Formats: sequence, C-alpha cells, structure tokens
Amino acid sequence: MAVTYEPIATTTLSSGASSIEFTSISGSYTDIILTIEGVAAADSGQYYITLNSDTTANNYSTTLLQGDGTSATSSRYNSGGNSYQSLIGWPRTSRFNSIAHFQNYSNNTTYKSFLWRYSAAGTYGYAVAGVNLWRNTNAITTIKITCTATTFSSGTMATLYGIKAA
Amino acid sequence: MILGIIASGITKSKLVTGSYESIATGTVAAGATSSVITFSSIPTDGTYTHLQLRMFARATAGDTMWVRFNNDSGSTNYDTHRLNGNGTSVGADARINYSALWVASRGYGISATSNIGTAIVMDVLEYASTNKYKVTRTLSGTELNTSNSDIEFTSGNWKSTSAINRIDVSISTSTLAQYTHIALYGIKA
Repeated sequence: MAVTYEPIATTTLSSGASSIEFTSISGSYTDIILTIEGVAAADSGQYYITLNSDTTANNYSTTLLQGDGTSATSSRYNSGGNSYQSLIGWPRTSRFNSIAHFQNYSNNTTYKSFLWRYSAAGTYGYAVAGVNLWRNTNAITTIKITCTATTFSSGTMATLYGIKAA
Repeated sequence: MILGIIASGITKSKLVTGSYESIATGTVAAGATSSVITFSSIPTDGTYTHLQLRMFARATAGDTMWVRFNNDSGSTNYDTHRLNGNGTSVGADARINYSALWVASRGYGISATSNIGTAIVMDVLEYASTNKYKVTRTLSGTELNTSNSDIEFTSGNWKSTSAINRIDVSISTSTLAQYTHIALYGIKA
C-alpha cells in the first residue's frame, strides 16, 4: 500500500535562528501539514508564514479565535499594514507549538486557505485556532516561518508532512 | 487515539505504513456544480477505527454545510455544538435534534467568493462501532478579510449505533461549486 501520510522534511535548529524555511516542496501531494514545536529566546512578537517568498502588501489575512486563560476573543489581521505576513503563533520561552493544514496547496486555480492551531502554556499561554488566506493562485513551493521580534532557540523543530488522496 | 507521526530522518523503508490510508475522493470539476458528494461502501469490517474528511469546499451561494451518515435525514437524529470567531466577536450555540450535522454554519457559511474556499478537517471517531452514538470533531475556516470570515470549532453527534458506511456532504440551500475537493481517509488503531 502506498504511503498516504509521510514526512517530507524536518529542520531541527542547532543554534538560535529567526527563521526556518522549506523549499522545493513537491506538488505531488494533496495536502501538506506544517508543524513547529520549540522554545524562543524571548516572549516577544509573533511568528508568521511567508509563502513562495511573496511579501506583496495585502496578499495575506488571518481570522483567529483565542483563549488566554481568562477570556475568549477573536481577531483579524491583514498583511497590508503589518510587518508580518501570515500569523500562526507567538514565540515563547516556555514550550510552544503550531500545526497548519494546507488543503489543495498545489493547485494553480484558487487562492490558498489554511487552518492552524497554536498552543503554549505558562504565563503568556494561549490556545488558538485560525484560518489564513494567501491571495495567490500559484502552487505553494516554499514555506518560511519567521519571528518578528526574537529568535527560535536551539532544539526547535519544524516538520513538513505530505498527505496523498486516492 | 494516538496518531503517531514519524518525522523525517528515518528512511521510508523503516516507516510503519498503512495506518492512515486514503479511501476515496470527491471533486467538483471546473465549470460544474454538485448537489452532493457521497462516499459509499465505507468498510465497516474493522479495517479502520476512525475516519477523517479533509475538505476544500466552495458553494454557489454561501450557506451551511450539511453532513449526513448512512443517508439518515431523520429530523431529530443529529446534534451540533458550535464555537466560532469572526475576527471581531466570539459566539457559541447549538443545533439539537436536527436532520444533519452542521459545519461552518455560524458565519457566512461555505465560501462562494471567487477563488476562495473553506478549509475543513472533520474527524469521525469509532465510526464502525455498533455500541455507541457517533461523535465528530471539526475545525473549519473561511478567510475573506471581512466580517464574514469564520473560524469555527464544531462537535457533532449522530444518534445512531449503526456503523457508518456512507457519508453525504451537501450545502443546505445551494450547491457545491467548482474546485470543491473532499478526501476521505481511514485511520487504523
């Protein structure tokens, strides 16, 4: 039986870095899933995704639902006026993780919508779910995860998985 | 259920294969519409323990997605609880004793905006059990950069002890639009 759900690539940082990037992503899968888990140098800023090196203003937007241990809120971000492209989490000195699902990432017909979840415990912890849009019909071939105000610490691991439908 | 995911660094020959398998895929071609996408003859012989639907859905007019099992449209056979955010406010409610599970229903519904789809992942746990009602867990999202955007958690309950052998996906008052893609996967315990 052909493998349906398989790892494509993994990066584990051996020293601090402000970003992690996956390039030359194969278009042979139906969906791809990105996971990132680790620790950051500071509880500062956010981390976001840039797709295909696209930093065009207004090409990304995000709607999210979050709980911080006290209240539940919903927010929306558009990349037009922000320094970050497509938010998927917040770096924390306690452990944090995100998982993002890119359905139909390799089609050349529609914009790319993707779901993500984030969690981090501790003083600055959140439980978050979000949906993002990349206003571009190109197939996704690169994914870059970047911190806006700090760095991912050594040991932080990001992995890309591919899911192949029948 | 623990779905173990093995990261790369391990050669493919050592991977445990076959625990997550593709069962079938339904699509709506360019220029077409469809009133329903149906998955039938789903194995109930113990081949799989859980099911997962992974969807990129579009509608001809924005509205709620309906999911039904075994062609059951009994008026009181499904319950849905919903928690959502639209970028401004958080909401929650329930649909108790309805004729289908509701998905992506608190906001604008399934996207009808050109080039934009609604992303959905639905888990159906222990779908082949004949001792339990069937529970579902769904995360869905439509991002339009407007107040019609929606990120939504849904829990569902089909009040039947029958094993699920069929799943129908439709839009309540419109139809599935071009570029809709729904894939059904089976997960082995």
